[in-house]
Amino acid sequence: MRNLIKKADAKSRRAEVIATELGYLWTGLLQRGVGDTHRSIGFCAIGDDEGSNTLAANLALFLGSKGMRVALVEAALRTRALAEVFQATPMPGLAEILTGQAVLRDALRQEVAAGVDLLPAGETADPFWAFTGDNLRGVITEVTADRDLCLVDVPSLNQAPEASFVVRSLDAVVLVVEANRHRMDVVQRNLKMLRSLGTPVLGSVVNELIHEVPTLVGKMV
Amino acid sequence: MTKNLSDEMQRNARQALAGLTPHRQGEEVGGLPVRRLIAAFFRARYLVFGTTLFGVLIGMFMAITSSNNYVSTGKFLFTSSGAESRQLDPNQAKETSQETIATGAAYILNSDDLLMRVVTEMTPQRILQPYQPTGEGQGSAKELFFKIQRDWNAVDESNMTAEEALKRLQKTIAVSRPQFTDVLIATCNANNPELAQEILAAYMVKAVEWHIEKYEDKDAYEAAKTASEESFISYSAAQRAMREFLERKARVNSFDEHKQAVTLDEIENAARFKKLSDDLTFKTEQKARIEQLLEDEVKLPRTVTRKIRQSITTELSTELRSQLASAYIKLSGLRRQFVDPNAPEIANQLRLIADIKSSLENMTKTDDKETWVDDIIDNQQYLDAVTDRNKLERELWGLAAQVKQAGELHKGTADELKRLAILGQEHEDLRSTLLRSEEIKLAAGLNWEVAQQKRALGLGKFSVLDSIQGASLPLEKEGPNRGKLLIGGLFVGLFLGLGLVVLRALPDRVVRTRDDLEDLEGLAVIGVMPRLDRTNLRRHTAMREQGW
Repeated sequence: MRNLIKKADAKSRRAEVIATELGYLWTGLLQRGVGDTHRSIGFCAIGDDEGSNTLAANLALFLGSKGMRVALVEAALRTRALAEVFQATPMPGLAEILTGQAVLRDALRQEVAAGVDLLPAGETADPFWAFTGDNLRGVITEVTADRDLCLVDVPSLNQAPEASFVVRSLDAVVLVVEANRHRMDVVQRNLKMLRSLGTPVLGSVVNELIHEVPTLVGKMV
Repeated sequence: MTKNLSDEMQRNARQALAGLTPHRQGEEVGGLPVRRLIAAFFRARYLVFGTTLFGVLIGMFMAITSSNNYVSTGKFLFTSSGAESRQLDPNQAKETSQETIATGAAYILNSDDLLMRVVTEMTPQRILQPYQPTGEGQGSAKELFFKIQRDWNAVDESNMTAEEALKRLQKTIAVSRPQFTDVLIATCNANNPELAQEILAAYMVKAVEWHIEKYEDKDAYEAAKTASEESFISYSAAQRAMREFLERKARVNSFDEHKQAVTLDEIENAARFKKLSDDLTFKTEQKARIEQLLEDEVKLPRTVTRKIRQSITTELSTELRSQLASAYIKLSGLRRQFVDPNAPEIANQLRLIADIKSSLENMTKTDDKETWVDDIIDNQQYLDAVTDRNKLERELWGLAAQVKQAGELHKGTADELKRLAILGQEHEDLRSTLLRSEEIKLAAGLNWEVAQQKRALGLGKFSVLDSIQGASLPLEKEGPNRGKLLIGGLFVGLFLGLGLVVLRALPDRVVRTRDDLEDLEGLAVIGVMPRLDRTNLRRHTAMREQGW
């Protein structure tokens, strides 16, 4: 979990750049029907720690700050981090709801930030088995019922087999790819697998992009 | 609607050929991915810096350790005529035959035979003399460099061989011919100006001599003749030496046959000497046994006892017999003295004889009545043993003489054999010398015949190599250019690094930029999140400002 927008650096260059890029991202999402036909959006990555949860959290904070009512659902049960980031109690969470140990009303943390409600991951001994039922779709439907948008942190495609169940429960997904990490054929293969699930892939986000070439040289070439 | 209709048409044509959107300039299919390479270069900038630094260090090392190089130059004039100058090669029509030969001479003058003569003349130690830079009043840094150069270029004495010197000359001496001239320019590189001049001077002298030997027909003819005569003299000398050796030193007609005969004699004499020695030993032992037996009174007594009749008549009878014998002798004397047989002296004598006979008969009758007594006489076996011993003694004297004689013969043949063995090596040397000189004589004779035939047929090589400018003393060093070495090292290192970058970047298929992800079919990039370090944020902002 990294590069989350904080109140302390809201006016810094860093926050400014993140906000700008989130604005571009939101624009792209709006053009692809998000908020209209797609209200539950998943952010999935190929491997662990690629920044999909950060991106989802940042987008939730960004939209919340703009007056939207957003639910942030942490479906990555193996790498849970959002409860700590938002200083919320980790349990009960999504895992407890899926296993019937809790209800949504108890698990959902209201207003962890402006306009943002958080459903943390919770704890379970068997993350894969927790998603095998159709409970997640019901939870998503219930969450989006009285909110503008539901942003879901999807488990990584190569590390968690339950990622497919999560993706199938959502209206659309965005593929998060960390720069300088995967070969193109790996991305292509995962994209193909993602599309085979039937959920629309709205596009991709390049995370941790590094501009190797200095600006002056870049201008010349 | 564009302002320029032709641009519009060209763009439409490009799009039709390359797809809906043509590739950006520099990223056409099959071209070098310039942007990607530049990015890879900046990504691997530390590698490139490292290789460049490495190159600079290598250049610096070479600049410090390389010895100075001085070039001495000399010139030959080469003229030729003869059968070899006529070459029927249409490709060489513009070049005269004289120049063709001169070009060949430039290569021939680099032969190992000639260079080895220079090595022999100058010694390998002088040619391989290590670099010893010195300078008076130099700064401490330069002194340090000189010390490094001296240490680095030091040569072990054991490596200063003729082969190494030859290799050095092969590298340092060069002969070239400027086009359309008869001049051959010889150059020699060395780490010392005097050494370069010295080597080249020796080479030029030897080259002229060598050329005369090899390529001037007159001298070759004379040389063949001289060689033939000298080989004949050598052969005669070898023959004479062999003959003197056989006559005066070895004193034999045929060394090998004599040696063989002496060897056979030696074998025979040794066998005879051994046999006689064995006999002598055996008989000496036998004599000793007999003497031991003679000294033992118990085993072999000197006397034995026998039984005989003992009386007074025995001795009287003996006396009478003695008188009877004397009487007969006297009677025969008297009969020769007196013619008359009835002479009184003879009659008296006859009476005396008759009386003695009568007395003997009486004595015999008396003796038969006497008793037996013991009589001690000599032992016959003892006497036989004494006789055997005496016989053995005589034989031993003979055998000892024979052994002595055989020993002398054996010693004589052994000494002769030893002498021949000592002379053998000398004989072998003389024989090999004789054979070798005979072979040389035959070969030289053959050469001499060939030279005579060539002269008779008008075939020959007539060329002249003259030195027209001696070896010069170099006034300035030719190299190394230390600045160039440094810059060269820098560029080599830089290009090595760039090469590594290219080799790494060309097959690289990792998603590094937004463009890489956009290349995936049907995947739109709807967002970008830069790494949030200061430099990257600045560049990202600039990219956005440029309309990225």
